[in-house]
Amino acid sequence: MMEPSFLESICNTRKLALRDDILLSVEKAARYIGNEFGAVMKDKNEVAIRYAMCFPDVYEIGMSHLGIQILYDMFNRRPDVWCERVYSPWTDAAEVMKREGTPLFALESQEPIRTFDFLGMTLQYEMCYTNVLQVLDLAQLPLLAKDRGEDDPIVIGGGPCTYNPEPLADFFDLFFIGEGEAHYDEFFDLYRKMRTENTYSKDAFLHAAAQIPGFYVPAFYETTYHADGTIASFVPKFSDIPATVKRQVITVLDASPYPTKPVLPFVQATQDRMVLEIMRGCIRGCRFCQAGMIYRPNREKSLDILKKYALELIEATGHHEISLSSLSSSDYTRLPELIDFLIDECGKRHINISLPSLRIDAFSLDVMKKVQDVKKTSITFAPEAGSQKMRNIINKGLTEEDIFGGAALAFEGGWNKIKLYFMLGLPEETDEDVTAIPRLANEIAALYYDTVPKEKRNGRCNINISTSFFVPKPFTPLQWARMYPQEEYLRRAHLLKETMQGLLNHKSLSYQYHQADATILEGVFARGDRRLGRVILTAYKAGATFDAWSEYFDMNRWMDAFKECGIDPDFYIMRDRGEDEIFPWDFIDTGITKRFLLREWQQAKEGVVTPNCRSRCSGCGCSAFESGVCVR
Amino acid sequence: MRYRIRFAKYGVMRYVGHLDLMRFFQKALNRAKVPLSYSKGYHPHPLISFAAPLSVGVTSGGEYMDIVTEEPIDAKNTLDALNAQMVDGMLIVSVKELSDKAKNAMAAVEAAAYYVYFKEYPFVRNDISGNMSILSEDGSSPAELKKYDTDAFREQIRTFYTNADSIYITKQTKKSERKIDLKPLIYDFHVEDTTSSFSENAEQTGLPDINVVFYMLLSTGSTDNIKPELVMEHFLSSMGITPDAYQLGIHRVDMYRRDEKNELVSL
Repeated sequence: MMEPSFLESICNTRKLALRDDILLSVEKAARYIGNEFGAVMKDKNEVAIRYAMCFPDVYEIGMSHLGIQILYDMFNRRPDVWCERVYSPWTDAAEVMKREGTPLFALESQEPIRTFDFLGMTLQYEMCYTNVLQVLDLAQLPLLAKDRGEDDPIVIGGGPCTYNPEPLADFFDLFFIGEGEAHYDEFFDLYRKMRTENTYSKDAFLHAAAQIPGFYVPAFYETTYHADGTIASFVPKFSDIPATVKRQVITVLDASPYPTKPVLPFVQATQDRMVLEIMRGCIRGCRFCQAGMIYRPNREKSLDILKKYALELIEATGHHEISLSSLSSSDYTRLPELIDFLIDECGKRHINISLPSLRIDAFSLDVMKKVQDVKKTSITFAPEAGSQKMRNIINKGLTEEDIFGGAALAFEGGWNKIKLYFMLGLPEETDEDVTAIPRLANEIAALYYDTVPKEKRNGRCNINISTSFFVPKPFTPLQWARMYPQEEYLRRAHLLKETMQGLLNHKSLSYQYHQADATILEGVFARGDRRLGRVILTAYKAGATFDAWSEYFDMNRWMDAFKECGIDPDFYIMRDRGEDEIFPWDFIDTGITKRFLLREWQQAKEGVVTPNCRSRCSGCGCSAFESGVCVR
Repeated sequence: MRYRIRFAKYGVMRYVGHLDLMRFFQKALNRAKVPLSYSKGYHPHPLISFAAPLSVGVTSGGEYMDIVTEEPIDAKNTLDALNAQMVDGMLIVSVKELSDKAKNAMAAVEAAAYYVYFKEYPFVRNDISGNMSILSEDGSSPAELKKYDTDAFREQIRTFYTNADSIYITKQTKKSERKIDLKPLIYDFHVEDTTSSFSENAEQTGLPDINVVFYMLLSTGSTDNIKPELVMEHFLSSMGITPDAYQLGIHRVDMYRRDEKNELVSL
């Protein structure tokens, strides 16, 4: 290639959607230019389907998400599809785009996404719902699905929030429920066929798509309500539309392609490392954990394929860090061999290994010692609750002995910082259970002073308590549980803090807790119904976006929106739900039976522990998938 | 073994900041399998250093970074291997071995040459298929400046720079104000002859028809680091012109060190 001349240098070799003066006036202009190494460029005239894949949050967050990279890679393997990426413009750029009428664009082609065939959005957390509306708005698309026309893209939602998509029912044409790798070929083939045969209309296409397993068209269902506000019926409006939508699952993970040549952002992503997904699902069955339920059954990738992926990732990215991804890495059967392999391959290439979600025991501490600087890192435990009674209720199979044993080993190994994660506001929680949290931390600190002789101590130990407030999620055994008013959450947090300050080792303890008001809103949306669409729209119109960012979250704006729509948020969170109540998400068949969840809810209230999937099948219903841990 | 890599950063890559560029190169060098040496200690980092960071928005044909390798590398092969890892707007121009006694780029750099121009809208670009075309007409044309002809600028440079004994300015730092004389730190400042050096038939080449281009050679490095926008700001204000924000375009032409005869040569 020839060296560019001065004049060639100052011209852009790619079309950019944002003007030079805009790019130079916003923070991190590289968020908006595309052009990253690994970004897929195609000739738009050679493809039949343009797909915009959106993570409705800022670029650095969205670029850290593995799911999008997987689908981006898979879709683009089809020569007839060009899948491009879109993220929420940060507030500075969004403001200029809105003011100047610049339509939201895809990063690769820099072309407006409103001209695309599909706009797919991943819904990872409830607090992104106003960003969904902002994406549609900046794209210059009507916000309501019913107002979008034949030429507008079909808007599809996916991700964990689709396990109750109802609050977003008004805004999406389609949801896909399950693992995105399944059935997308059928879906694209259907679209192409209808387009080429000239049988396409939005309505005809949605009818046909609803026949593909996992696809849900909210507009094709009708809800009626009892006088008390609960659901009386939820039925399809048409005879060709299925009454339940089945979650789609990949049965053999090894058979599904993996993105070993991911897009490499210029702007540092929140997760700036290679990601090796080792398994899906979890054997543990913690009763609060939605991921632990909706991704069942636990399925592992083979050691051989993981070794192959790791080497390919190293070659293709040049990254200096690799991370294992799963819900509970310690449960991966062949973890020791995998880690030995990585230490060997990464060590000689100066690549760091990051090991999140490891259970703390002799093995993991030994591994961490090999791959981390003990002095600079902390050891993390997630007991989730302070008392054994509470841990039994949530089925967190971590005992005090495990924690003390692990902490003692860590202290002996040279660590003196420990992080502890807990939840407040769990069902059946009493003040005694709340104060059990700082008492546990206090005992861990005491253990440090008992275990480590004075001359070997590196100052005080540092035990950091962090709490979030429990939000009951659909398809978990705790989906029947009530929540509490904001003042009650704060009272519990303050009780925890005051108790901590009175303890012997309080100087070694510190405490942080999450925002309580955002928790309330998250709770409303998690178990909300389609009547909430109006509230989201009203709040967005009043200026709500980036609600997941505490600096932009404004609870008063939301409370005003509830009031304006005549909807009482307490209905969704403060009420005890009856065992025969029809939930807004009951039309989804996740494979886990409601009978199982109810049994677990009873066991929770009785404090009875359920063994993990490997010890004994608890009959959740997922064995019907005939995959992973269910067929061992 | 030490090597100096010269590269160009142009087009859309002007929007990528220095820290992001460093991360980009670290990965690209790994992908190209360059056997980088690492620092010692618990957090080893690859031995890569840059001559002088380039501000966001500035293009360049003469950027430099030094690398240290564990074993000798073939310059030509490395050049090709690295270019295979580049993106639109990045080009590796040369890879050269450094002698043992050569200072590293950051310490050696003494001067940098720049072209400064007034941005004209619309910008020109290649589309994906490689065809040149003119971008949409949004963005205001800086019509104000068109009435200044190059002769007026040439004349003012004589007053402001060539014939001036000193150019005192007040430089704001975080803590204090400092009076400095720019005159000895500006080694050259003139208006380029755009009719001969640059494209005059914009329509044929698709390249912009630039009205006026300033050339300046400025002291650069750790002691007296003079930025072209600083010089332009004082020069233009001496003519009573305040350009709009983001209106000045800057292109770094090259960076220089002093050789044994104290003459400026490319890094």
